Amino acid sequence: MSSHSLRARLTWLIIAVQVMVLIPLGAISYQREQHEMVKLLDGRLAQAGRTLGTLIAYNKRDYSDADAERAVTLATEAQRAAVVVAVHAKNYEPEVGFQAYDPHGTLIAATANLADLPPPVKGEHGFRDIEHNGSNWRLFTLTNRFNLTIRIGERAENRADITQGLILEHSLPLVIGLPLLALLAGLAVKQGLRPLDKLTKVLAERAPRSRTPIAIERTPDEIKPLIVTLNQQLERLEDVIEREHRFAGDVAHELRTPLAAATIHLEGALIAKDAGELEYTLHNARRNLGRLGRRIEQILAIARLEAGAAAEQRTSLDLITLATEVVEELAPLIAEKDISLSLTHDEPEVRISGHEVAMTAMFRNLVENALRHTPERSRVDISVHRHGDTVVIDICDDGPGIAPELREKALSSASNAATIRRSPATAWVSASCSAPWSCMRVRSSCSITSPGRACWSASASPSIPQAAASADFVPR
Amino acid sequence: MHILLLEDDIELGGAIKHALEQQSYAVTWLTDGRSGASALPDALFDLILLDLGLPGRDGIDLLLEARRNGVRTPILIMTARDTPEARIKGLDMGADDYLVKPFHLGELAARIRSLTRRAQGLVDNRIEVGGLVLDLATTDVVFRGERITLTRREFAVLRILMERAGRIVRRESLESSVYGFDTVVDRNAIEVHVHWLRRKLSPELIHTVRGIGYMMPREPK
Repeated sequence: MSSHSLRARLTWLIIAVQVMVLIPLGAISYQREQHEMVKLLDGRLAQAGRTLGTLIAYNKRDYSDADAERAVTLATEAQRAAVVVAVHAKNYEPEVGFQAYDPHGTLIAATANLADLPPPVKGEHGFRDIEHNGSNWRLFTLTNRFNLTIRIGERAENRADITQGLILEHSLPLVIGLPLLALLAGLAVKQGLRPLDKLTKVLAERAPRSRTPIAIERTPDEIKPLIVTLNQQLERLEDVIEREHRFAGDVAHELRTPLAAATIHLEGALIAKDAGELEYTLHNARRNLGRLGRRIEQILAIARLEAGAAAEQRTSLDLITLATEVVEELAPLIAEKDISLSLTHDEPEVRISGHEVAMTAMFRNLVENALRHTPERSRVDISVHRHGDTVVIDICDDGPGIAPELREKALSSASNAATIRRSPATAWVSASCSAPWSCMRVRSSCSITSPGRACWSASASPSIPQAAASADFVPR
Repeated sequence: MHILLLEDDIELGGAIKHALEQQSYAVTWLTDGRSGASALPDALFDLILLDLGLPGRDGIDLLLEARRNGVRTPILIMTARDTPEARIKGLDMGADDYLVKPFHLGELAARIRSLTRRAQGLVDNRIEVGGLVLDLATTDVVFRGERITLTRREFAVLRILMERAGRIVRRESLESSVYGFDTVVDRNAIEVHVHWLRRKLSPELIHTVRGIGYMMPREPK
C-alpha cells in the first residue's frame, strides 16, 4: 500500500492507536500483577508461618524417631537437639523451608534447606530478602503468643517463576491478539472504504472528455459533498467550454465576414471590365481588409486583457475621439438604415485610463449593436459626460432592449447587458465589452427608459487605482 | 433572375449585391430578420441567400417559418458557423445549400446556378431554345452559330424569356427579375432591352403580348 493510500493510513493509525493504548495498559497491568503476586505470596508465607507456630506450640517435641536419626546425621552440634525436617528434591519442597525456635532461642525444628541458617537476631520480625547457600530467599520471621519464633522462607526464584508464569498467562492474549487485531482492522478499513473504491472505479471508467455528472445515489454521506462539488465543477466546466465554444464561433463570424467581403471585392476586381469598376472593387476590398485587421487587433487585445497580460498597458484615452472614430467607421450602417445618430458631450475631451484597442472594440460593438437592433429611420443617441468623479456613457436606441428574463443574468454575469440582444456574436461582444471594463471600477445597467427606447449606461472612474483592478458591476 | 439577399453586414451585403448584379442578377437586399420574414413568402424571388445571424429574427427561425408556410424557393445559407452540426441543422431545417464564410464569389455564383438548374429541372448550365444557346456559367450567347455580345440587362431579360420559353412572362415579373425592388425603373426600360435583343438576334424571336408582357416560342422561326 502506498504511503498516500487512505486505507494504509487508516490501518496504521488504528494499529498505532491500539498499540499506544494496549502497551501502556499491559505495562501497568504487569506492574500491578507483580505487586499483587508479591503480596499474595507474602501472605501465603506469613499464613504458613503462623500455622506452623501454632501447630508446634500444641505438639511440642512430638516427632518421630526417624526424624531424630536424620537430625543426628544432618544437623550440626548445636542443632542436634532440634528436629530437622527433610525436604524432597523432586517436588516443590526444596523451594520452601522453616526454622522454629523456642522461647529460649533454641532451634526446635527446621527444614533441611534452612536448618543451617543463623538464628534470628533479637527483635527480628516481618519479611526480608536474604541470600543463603547461593540462593535468594524471601524470609518471614514471627514470634507467636507462645514465644515461639518461627522463620519461614521461600526461594525468590520460585516466587519469580510463579509470578512470571501468571503474568505470561495474562499477557498471552494481548501478544497474540495485537497482530490479529491489526489484521482485522485492515480488513474492516478495506470493507469500510469500499464505496471509495467504487467511486474510484467509476471515475477511472469515465471517458476522458466526459462531463456528465457523477451518479450520487447510494453514496455514503461523507462522500456526497465531494461528489456534489465535483458535479458542480463539471457543470461550471461545461458552461465555460460552452462559452468558449460560442466565443470561438462568434470570433470566427467577426473575422470571416470582412474576409468574405474583401474576397468578393477582390474577385470582382479580377473580372472588372472597366477602370471605374476596378477602382470601386479595390477600394472596397482595401476597406474590408482594414476592417479585418482592426477586428484581429481587437480580438488579440481582448484575449490579452482576459489573460491579464495587458492590464498594465493602459493609456490616457479621450472617449470623445474614440466615440467619433467608431461612429465614422460605422457610417455605412448608419446610412444604410437611415438612422439619426447623435453624439453629445459636455466637454471637448473626456479622458479615462484604459486599453485603447479594447475600449474601441467595446464602443464599436455597443454602438453597432444599437444600430443593428434599432428600426430603420430611427434614433441612436450616444452621450459621454462627467458626473462628479466618474465618466458616464449612455447609449440609447429605439430597439426592443433586453428581454426581462435575460436582463438580470446579463447584469449579474459581468457581461454587457446591451450585447445580449444581438444574436450572432453575443459571446464575442460580451467579452469585448466586459474585458476592458474588467480593469476598471464600473457601474453598468440596461433599462427601458421610455416605451420603445432602450438604454445602456456605464460609469467608470477616470483614474483607476491599482487595487480596484477587478470587475464590479452593480445595476444602477 | 431575382435573388433575395438577407445579410446584416453592410460591407458583405453590399459586396455580394454588387457582384451578383454584375452577373446580371437582380438582387433585393434586406438587413434584418423582421423585414426578411415579410419578404420570404414573396413568390417573385427565384432564390434566397440567407445569413443566419440576423438582428430581429434568427436565420434558422426564418428558414423554418418559410418552409412551414410552403415557400418552395431555393434557399442558400451563407454563414460563419462552420461546424458539422450547424451545417446538418441548416440543411435539415430546409436549406438547399450551405456556404461557409469566407467564400469565393465564383463558388457562390456556381451554387446559385446549381440551385437554379435544380429548380428548373435543367441538367447543365446551357439553355437552348431553337438555334439560340445561352450559357449561364460563361454568360456566352450563341445564335445560329454566331456569338452575340449582350449587356448584362439584355442577358438577364433573354435568360428569363428562355427559361420560360413557351410561356408568357409578365412585364412586372421581368422588371423585378432584372432590376429587383431597389431600383426605380423607367416604364420603357424593358421595352428598350427587348428592342435591342430583337435587333441583335432576330425580330421574330420575342413576341409581345399586348397589355401583359412578352413570350419566346419554344421553336422560334
